[in-house]
Amino acid sequence: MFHEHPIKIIKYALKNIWLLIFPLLRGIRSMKLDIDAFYSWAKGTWFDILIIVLIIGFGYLRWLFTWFSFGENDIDLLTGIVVKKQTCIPYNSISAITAEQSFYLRPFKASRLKVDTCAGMFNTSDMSLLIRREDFKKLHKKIPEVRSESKKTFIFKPKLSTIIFFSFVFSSSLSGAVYLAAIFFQSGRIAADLFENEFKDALNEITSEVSAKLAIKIPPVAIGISIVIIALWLFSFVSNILRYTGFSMNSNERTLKVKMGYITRRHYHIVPDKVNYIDLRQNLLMKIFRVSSVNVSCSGYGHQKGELPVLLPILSRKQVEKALDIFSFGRFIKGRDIKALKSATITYLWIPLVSGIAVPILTIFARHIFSSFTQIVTFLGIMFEIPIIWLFVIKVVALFTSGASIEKGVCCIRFCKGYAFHTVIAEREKLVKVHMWQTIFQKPLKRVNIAFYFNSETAKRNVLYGVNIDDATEFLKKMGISE
Amino acid sequence: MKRYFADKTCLNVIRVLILVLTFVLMGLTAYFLSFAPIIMSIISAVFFVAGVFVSMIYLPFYFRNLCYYISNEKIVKISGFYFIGKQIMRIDSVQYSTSVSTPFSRITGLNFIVLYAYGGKMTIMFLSKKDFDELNLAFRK
Repeated sequence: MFHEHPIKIIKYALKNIWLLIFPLLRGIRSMKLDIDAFYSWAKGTWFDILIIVLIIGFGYLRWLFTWFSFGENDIDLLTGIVVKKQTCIPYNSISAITAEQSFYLRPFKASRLKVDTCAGMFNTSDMSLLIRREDFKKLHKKIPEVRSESKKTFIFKPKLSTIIFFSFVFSSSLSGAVYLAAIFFQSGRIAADLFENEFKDALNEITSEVSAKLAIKIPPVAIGISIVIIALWLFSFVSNILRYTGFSMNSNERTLKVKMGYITRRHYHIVPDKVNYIDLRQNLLMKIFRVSSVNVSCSGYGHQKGELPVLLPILSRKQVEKALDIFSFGRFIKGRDIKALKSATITYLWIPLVSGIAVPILTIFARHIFSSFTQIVTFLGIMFEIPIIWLFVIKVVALFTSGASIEKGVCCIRFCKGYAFHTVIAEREKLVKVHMWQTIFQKPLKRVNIAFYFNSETAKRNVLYGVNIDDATEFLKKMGISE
Repeated sequence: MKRYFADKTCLNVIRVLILVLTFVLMGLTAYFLSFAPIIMSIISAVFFVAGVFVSMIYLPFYFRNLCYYISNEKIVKISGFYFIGKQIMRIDSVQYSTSVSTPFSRITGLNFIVLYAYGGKMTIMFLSKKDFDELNLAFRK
């Protein structure tokens, strides 16, 4: 049995930081008293010291009473000072192991280890430990390793330019906002307020400067919004570059080993048998250039905030097929057995069509109501219209590319969700539910929508819209599902 | 298929804890609501009835119904007070287990095993120390 890395004492101790509220209350109380009472305050510092000793003492005790071991068949974790809790994860149940080496942990030679199985709480690790790097090496001996001499080994190390392109494509101002929100929450309100005030001043300065330089009729507020969006996008872009720099994947039939990260180095061990499905993701640009990113659905991989379950960032079609040979999936990316009907145009296009018409009408209406803000209203109208037009183009492409196929027990579903194109490849056994439904307009036209649900930590709908009902029934029969 | 029952010794421990909690709550009610004797009496009566019901009626019935059938293939948990429920879990779907034992668990019988499986979990509660050790070992194999 081993203890965790001693640095964990600090983390355990910080959990009891709330105890500092007592010395703080004493301080507030003493401030109300006159100067003579200062002596009694100074005399009472033993209490503050006691609290700090208690905080560190609790941390030390928790560390002292936490043991783990890498046994013959399982990982054991024993915790608890009074109530003893023992968690035992067999090696053959593990779906993914993550080792994180943050920049501040590296000098201490410590690693954060996360062990995941297909069970347990959604989107949280089943076991999380802060261990010494040499202890992690002991675990290495217990889990399957990628041997480069093996015939079926796939090694992939993308160039930095590929990573930059990937980060460029998958960065969004929304995820940037999420990152910033996380920073605000974690840094505390004071830091956020300070940042907000400084940020406001800086933004005002920049917007008025840009506005003056452009000397055109763009209101400073509009420029401000644009700068915020660009800044958030840039933040997300840089975060993605830092996260995925140094990406490499080694795999064979026994294990998939992924390394990534510059500031925080992450090492993943994924068990191929525990992979639920493979998802090839593309946006419109990637579709045009015939490249895709290979994502994987596996418990414990890519479930952290701001993390994508990406297995291979950017690959051409041929590279994808080669990589998927590890799962024996490569040859199943082929033509479609069932396709979205061309007559289902309205099913695919009604949302961008309706919103594309509604936005200009609402803009004109709003210009009349808010006559003193016509510039900003027009600007917002244009800003809303652009993504709708983009969505229209994506849905047109989706109409011609959506479909599904099945061969030798492996199914391949191609569909579009939001602005992304997905090609989901999974074994038939991993399919858990199929939902077929028709709208009142689809019923007389004999069209149907099908939602496929595969094994996953959280239920994810893979929906194929506007398929002929007879073709769909025939396809489901081929999948071994019949009414 | 072996049958395991809840350890009745912990029933008395839980009963005592609930009764102590009931009387503490009644005491606090009497202290803080002494200015409104009618409300105080009603709330105290509610606490008393709830405490007595749980410790004297609910728990004995629950413990009487609680049992586990464990074989090499599956675990069946039967529990409930008025409506008896049955949960069945396949052993091969169990991914990992967590065992929790309290101090003096040999006397109190407050031993638990949580089994985590695909899509769910099952808690095996109030096991005697002997059954706890036996099952803990069995699930680790």
